[in-house]
Amino acid sequence: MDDKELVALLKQRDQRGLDALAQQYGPLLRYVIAPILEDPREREECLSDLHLLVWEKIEGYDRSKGTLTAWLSALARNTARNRRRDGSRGNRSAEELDPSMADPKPGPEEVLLRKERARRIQQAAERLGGIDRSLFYRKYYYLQSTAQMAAELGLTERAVEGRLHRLRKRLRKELGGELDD
Amino acid sequence: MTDDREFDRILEEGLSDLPLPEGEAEEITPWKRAMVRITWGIGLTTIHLSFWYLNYLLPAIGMVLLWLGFRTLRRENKWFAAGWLISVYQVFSMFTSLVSNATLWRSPEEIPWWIWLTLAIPLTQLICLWQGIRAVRRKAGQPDEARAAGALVVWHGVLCVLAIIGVEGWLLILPMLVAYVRILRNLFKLSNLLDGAGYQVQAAPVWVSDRTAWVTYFLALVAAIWGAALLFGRYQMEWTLVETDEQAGLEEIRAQLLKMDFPVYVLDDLSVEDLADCAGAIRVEADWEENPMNGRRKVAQNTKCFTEVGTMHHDCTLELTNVAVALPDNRWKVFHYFRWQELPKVRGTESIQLCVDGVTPESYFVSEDQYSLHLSGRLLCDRDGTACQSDYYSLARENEYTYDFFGNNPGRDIYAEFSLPMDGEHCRGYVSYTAQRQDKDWICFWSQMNYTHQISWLNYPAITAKEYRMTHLFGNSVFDTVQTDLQACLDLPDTTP
Repeated sequence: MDDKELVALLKQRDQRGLDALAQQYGPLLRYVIAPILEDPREREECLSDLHLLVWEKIEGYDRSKGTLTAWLSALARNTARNRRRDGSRGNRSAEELDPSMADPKPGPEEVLLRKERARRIQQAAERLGGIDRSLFYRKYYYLQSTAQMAAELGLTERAVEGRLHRLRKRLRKELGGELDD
Repeated sequence: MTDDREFDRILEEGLSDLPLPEGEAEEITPWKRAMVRITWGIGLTTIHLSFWYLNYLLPAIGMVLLWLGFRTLRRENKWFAAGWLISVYQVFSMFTSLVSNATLWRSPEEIPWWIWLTLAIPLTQLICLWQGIRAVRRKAGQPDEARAAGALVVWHGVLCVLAIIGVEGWLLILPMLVAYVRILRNLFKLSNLLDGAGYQVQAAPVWVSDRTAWVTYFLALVAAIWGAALLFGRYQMEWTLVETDEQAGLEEIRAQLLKMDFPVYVLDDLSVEDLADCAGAIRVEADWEENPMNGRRKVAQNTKCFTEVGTMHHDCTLELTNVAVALPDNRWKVFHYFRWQELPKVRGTESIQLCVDGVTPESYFVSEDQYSLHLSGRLLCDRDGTACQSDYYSLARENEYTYDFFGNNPGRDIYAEFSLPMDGEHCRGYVSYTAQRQDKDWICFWSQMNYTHQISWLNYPAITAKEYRMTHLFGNSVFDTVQTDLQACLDLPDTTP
């Protein structure tokens, strides 16, 4: 089944769409989630959440803005990150939380700042080439471990660490103090 | 910015607000990279292009690609692991084969039966690939099939059968080639279709990075080929000291020959046996020439009207001397002597070819059974002022075939093979034969010497100077041949008492 049919089925709320999604994109979703969530049980729960999210958000998918693979990757990555973050928050005891803590939702100024920061990061990423670009997205987008990056790129772990060190140095130089705040 | 961890967190956070660039999500699968390499590897190792050394270069690249591809997948299932082990064998096998091509070692002319079993190695690897892909699909819950890989196995099987029964011809090769291209295209397509399943593949860790593997393999290959060409791209000659005063007791023959204008430098180098053979000499005919031999380059000279392109030879020359000694009983003893004025830079293989023909009033060329040839000769050089000698690596009369407009011309010429010493000076030597007509006197005979010298180390795959001469290769810049001949016509004085 091609992506067009799959999306159409999902939009029609047809159960066959979810089955096809699990068969065709299950490995991709697992691949994206695995490096972010260590606990296998958490991964399975996250996968279930993801199916639900796809079911709910499929109306918002616009093919002209990117492939289904990219859309699903982004959804899986952010869902897994949120889950990891929530999990680590949940581990803290209630006593530790400061009652005077500000509302975690970002204010308009912060939203603007984040957009500007994202734009600059994107520009820096576009200037990267070859393996550096791949390492950048694997490290900061897919949050893969050094071992995974090394194996998949045909590099030794030491070589990956060295390259990441140089990449970080380069990005720091290019982005300057823009990320400081 | 406090530390690396904080910087990483900011980047990670920043990317959450960005869409993935076009193609980035599709490229990340560990499967794609490995499968593209395997498919290219299969293509490069199967089709051979026989120009610009591509028949050696492309399979070598293909083998490394296959190894790298299977290396990534080797932990995924037992089939890929087996494919990887085969690729390790193939990489080493290709390495040794490419290195041995730079030597003078030759495989036996008769192919042993077990060599056919080696055809099964790539076939087994393709079966591993086919089954490996099926296993990946099964694991991902996808249909258990990989038709393109299966078709490749069948195609290769048919190719093996055709090779064993020796079927040739374009009528068969062309459809096979078309089928092969279609199968490879489908394999690429299959690889793309399997991207979804491929995300679950666990890439195996590596001890040596891809780049290091490439660089090491090809540097080692170049170094090994270079070393093999230097060490085994020449004959192993056995040089021994020449006895002092070895011609003692033969002063009378020497004096007689010198009186007949036998060149003294040739005479000094004759072995005792060859000098003794010249006893009773009736007449001596000799000529001498110098040939530029040690490399050459093209030079262009501009004049007002035109540009003249010529060949400039370096100073070093090869002196060639031909001596014929008429002997009693209708015999001729002929010496073809060479002397390097200085040692050439390249000392690979050398060959001397002698073409001998007798001419009588009855027949333009006398058939071989009407006269006999007895061959002899030796090589000499000086080391620290002391003369050393060696036998030729081979000295024999051999069958050869030349092809011209009228077809195949069988012939038999004398060939001497040797290598000049790496240390030593004043290298020289000669090939001699005694010709004797069985029934009548000679009228004339003609003896041509072709000295072939290796002028470049870039001799790959290695051929010897003799092989070059025998195969009559054109446009080869590795060897150079100079030619000299001697024609001796006579009215022999009546030697009967």
